[in-house]
Amino acid sequence: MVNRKTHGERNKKLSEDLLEGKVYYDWVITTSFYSAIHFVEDFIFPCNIRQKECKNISQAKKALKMPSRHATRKRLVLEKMPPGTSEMYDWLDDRSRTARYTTFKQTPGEAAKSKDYLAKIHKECYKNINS
Amino acid sequence: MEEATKIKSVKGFNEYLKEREVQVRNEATDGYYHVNVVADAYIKGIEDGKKLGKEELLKNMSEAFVETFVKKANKIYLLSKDTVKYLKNEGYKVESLHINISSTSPKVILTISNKTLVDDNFVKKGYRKLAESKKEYLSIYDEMLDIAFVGNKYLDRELLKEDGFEYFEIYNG
Repeated sequence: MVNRKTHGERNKKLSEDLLEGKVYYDWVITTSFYSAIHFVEDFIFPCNIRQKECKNISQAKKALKMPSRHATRKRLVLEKMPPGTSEMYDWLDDRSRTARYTTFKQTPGEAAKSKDYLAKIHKECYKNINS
Repeated sequence: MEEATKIKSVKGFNEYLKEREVQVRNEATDGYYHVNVVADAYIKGIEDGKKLGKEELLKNMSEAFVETFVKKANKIYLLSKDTVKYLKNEGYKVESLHINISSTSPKVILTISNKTLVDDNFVKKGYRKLAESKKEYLSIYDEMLDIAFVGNKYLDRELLKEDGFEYFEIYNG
């Protein structure tokens, strides 16, 4: 059984360590994004989609007839995450996916922001469990 | 067209779209349709009281495909321009707009300054606006619109073109 929270927190710790290392800022952002994926999936699943009980992203992809797991996740984040959280997730997604279009990799400012947004996404995803 | 803003682009969007429409029409005519799609269209034709030959059936499917492509492309352009205008009114300048009008996976990139990109207020407003656009597109086509913000500094425009972002507008002033 996949423990999304554990995987997410492992990646979160890695991104924090990389940020402290002050070298691999692009990897700070990438690991933050992959960490966020685990947290939002943990928040979203299980859920009911078009009268089908979905426990993971593959089942949701099938239920929604989406072309990819990434597009499915984007859609679920848009539809099921609280306002504010989905914006920060999309920001991380954009930084991670579009990095190849810049000839210079991400700045320390963007890396620090990715840590900040990941912490906020984590807090939002687990606030009902922790409170 | 943006008022009081100079736009530099190789051609107008309508001109670009007409070129793409010809390409997409050829793709659709020469293209491969999954057997289920053809079967569904055939059954639909019978239900509607039409007895069409295979050639006519494929021609009708091709026309419908191109028509949908043009509608989607126009919607994507309008949503993109609306975002540029909204952000301008909020005090944020979009530096350029890049569109990849693929018939299967259209994408939009809006570039902004790297300083703006880490501004919390921008992230809140800009991404909320993108979410609205995505929801509108989703409600019409049941598909996700791939629209993203990218920092303008060190942007590799040649790579964007190579990846199919053939249409662009650069905003000066």
